Amino acid sequence: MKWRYAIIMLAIALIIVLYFFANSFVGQDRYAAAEQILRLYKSDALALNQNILRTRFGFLLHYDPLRSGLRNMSILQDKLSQFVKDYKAPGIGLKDTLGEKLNIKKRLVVAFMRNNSILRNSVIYLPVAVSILTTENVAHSNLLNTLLLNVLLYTNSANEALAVKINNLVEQIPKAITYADTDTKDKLLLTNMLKHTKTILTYHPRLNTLTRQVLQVNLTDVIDSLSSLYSSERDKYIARANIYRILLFIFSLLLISIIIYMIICLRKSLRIETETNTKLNSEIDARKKAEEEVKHQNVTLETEVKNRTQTIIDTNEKLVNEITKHKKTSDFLRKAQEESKKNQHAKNVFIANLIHKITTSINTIIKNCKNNTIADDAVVNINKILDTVTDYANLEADTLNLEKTSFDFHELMTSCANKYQKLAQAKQLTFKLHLPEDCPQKLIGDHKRLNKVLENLLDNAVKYTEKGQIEVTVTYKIADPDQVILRFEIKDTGIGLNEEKRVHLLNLDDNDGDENNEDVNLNIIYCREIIKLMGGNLDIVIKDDVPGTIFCFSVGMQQGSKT
Amino acid sequence: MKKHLGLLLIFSLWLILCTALWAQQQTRPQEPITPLPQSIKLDKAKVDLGRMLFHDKRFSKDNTVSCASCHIISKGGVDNRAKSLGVKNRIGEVNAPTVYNADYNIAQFWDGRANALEDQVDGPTHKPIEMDSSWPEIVGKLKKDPKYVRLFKEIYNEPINPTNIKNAIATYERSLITPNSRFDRYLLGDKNALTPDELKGYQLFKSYGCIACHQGINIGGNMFQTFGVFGNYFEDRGNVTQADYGRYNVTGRKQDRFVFKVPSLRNVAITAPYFHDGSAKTLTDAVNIMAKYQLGRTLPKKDVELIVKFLQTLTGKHKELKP
Repeated sequence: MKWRYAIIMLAIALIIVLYFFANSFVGQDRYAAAEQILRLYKSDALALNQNILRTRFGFLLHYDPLRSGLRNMSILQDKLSQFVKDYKAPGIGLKDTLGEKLNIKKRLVVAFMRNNSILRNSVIYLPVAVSILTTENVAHSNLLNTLLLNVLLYTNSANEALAVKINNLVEQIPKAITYADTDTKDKLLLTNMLKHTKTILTYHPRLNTLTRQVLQVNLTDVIDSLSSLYSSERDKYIARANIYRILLFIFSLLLISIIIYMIICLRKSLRIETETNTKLNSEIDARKKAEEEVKHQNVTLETEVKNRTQTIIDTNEKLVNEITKHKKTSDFLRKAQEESKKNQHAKNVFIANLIHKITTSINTIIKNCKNNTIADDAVVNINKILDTVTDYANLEADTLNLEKTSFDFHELMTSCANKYQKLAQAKQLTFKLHLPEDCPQKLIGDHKRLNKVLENLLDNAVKYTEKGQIEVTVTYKIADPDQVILRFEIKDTGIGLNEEKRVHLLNLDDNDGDENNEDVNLNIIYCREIIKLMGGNLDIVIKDDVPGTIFCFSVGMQQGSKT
Repeated sequence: MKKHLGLLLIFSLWLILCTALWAQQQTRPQEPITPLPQSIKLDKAKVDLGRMLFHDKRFSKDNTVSCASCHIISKGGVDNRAKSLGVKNRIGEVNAPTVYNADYNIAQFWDGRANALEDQVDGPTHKPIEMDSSWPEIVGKLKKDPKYVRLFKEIYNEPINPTNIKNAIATYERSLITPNSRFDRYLLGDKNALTPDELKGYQLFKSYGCIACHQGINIGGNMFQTFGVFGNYFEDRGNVTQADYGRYNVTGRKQDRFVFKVPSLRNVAITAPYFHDGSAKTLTDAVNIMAKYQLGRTLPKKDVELIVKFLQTLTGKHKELKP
């Protein structure tokens, strides 16, 4: 904004200065030119007057100075008229007067030249004519010489008395001097001489008058008054121009100060700019440095990252290698396991088949040894054991299938209770069976194996209980109209189990070898697996305050038709 | 200081030179006749344009007469007729004066009715017996010529107008000077330029009084004089016309009756016939008439011959002049 104002002010000041500058010269030159014209005019007018006199008295041999003087003055007069017309200058009246006077003077000069020539011719000729006449005829010389003398005197004076005298002589001479008729030449000469004398008498005063008239036509006073008029006009213009010059000076100072102010402003702004520039540059430098540092750090980071990734990649590779190694080993192991499993399975299948063949052969033996009681019990036992082994083998080989036959649950439990009643009595133990009356009687399922589980568990109870009682409690729950969940609790007062033993028993594996309790372990595993197949779970409950162990398990059975 | 000394030296040398020249001027015998300059400074383009216009017949009504028809440049600026022929062979009133050295005349025409050469152009172009035309007619004709339009535009930077035309023609006429005549060479110091007879003729020219009127740079032309100072020429000749009244026709004053411009005697030998009426066929005739009517005397035949011999030395040189 500041700049715009400064420029506008500068432009205005410049226009004003130019205006003043232009006006500080107006009018002077033109009046100077006019004064020059008038100066020349005046000098020409004075020169003309001088030349008239010089011509009159024979100092000038030709009229060229007069002619050129007149022409120059005419030209100057035209220039003056043009000047007055062009600039509407004052002094038109004076100019016209000057023009009229010039025309009069011109006319007079022209007349002067004409008369002067005639007079001059006569004045030149008269002495020649007189000398010719006097040399040819000496008798007339006195009279003629007197005439010549008087004429010459007259031409150099304005004495009118001489004119009268000459006139008298001119009248006398033709009478006094006579020539013979034959002497025409001399006669003519005399006549001519007298003519010229008369001419002199006529033209001499005329020329004097003309000369006076020419000199009296005073151009210079008109020129002077015009000059003074124009010089005063010029002074007016100079005064005016001086005012403009003073204004020009003042405004020039103003202009210069504006320019200086602008320059200072410019420099200041430039300085500020440079300062800001340097600041900016330093900032930029700092930023660049920071950026470079960041870059450098980035590079180091990158290298670090690279290194690390390299190490990671290396470790990864190592890991991958290891994993592959592990995989290989695990594959190997799995294969080995599978192989062993296959082997196990084949073994189990083989055992199952073997047992089946043994059973068939023992059954044949049993048929043959009928009616032998000792053998009978042993056969029953062997049968049982073989069944168990078959089942076990089948379990191992995953080929055991539960039977689905309908049976009387109450009958099963009663027969089982009867059997262990006897065994318990033999060891002087009490045996109790708690079977709810409303428990469903007809069920569908594998009663043989259920019986076997119960017998196994009861065998164990009887075996490890020295004193006290064995209690079997059955509870049931009907989940579905068809499904009955039966829960069995076999409680003894035996030696009991600690927690470690309990966990050990519940997680028994096929491979766990325990020489002392081989068959117990096998029994328990067998029970657990069968219960699992039947949809239940074997558990052992130990109570610190009560001696003995409680084996409890539940199995799902299909409810047979009630009818 | 040195610089001032140098200037002072140059100034003093110049002063000495001027004095010397002035002294030489003083020692040379003063003559009533002065030589013509070798050349005058003029705008060459204007001179060339003026020459074209001077020879252009379109200045006349029927395109038959140009300025050069009567002022034949190669023949001394005259047509050597007593009275010139205008359009339709109309016979002029006066003898055509030469255009050579015309600028040194006090005025133009025999009666001096034009002050400057420019004003002179108006005369012949408008006179019915000469060109019988008018400025609108002439300008109209010239404007149809693209060459003129271009030249006027170039030289005067304005369209063709009477002022331009007159200026061009006058400029051309100013260029028509005839320096280097034998007599001029004599005046300039060549004493062998004139034969003794011619020199004698010059002396007679002066002593008989011819010089009273025929003086100056143009040997005449710078003044007016009555034709017939001694004796009435026109009465003797008879058949007086309007033109014979001379300057009276211009001023209307009684004393200007029979007054004519004194003609220049330069190139007089090639500008016959003589006088405003062209009545003098030869120089001898002219000298005799002049002696009788102007000088009031009779000259011996021998002296007339000598004067004529002198007059014949006044023929100057110009590149277009082929006498």
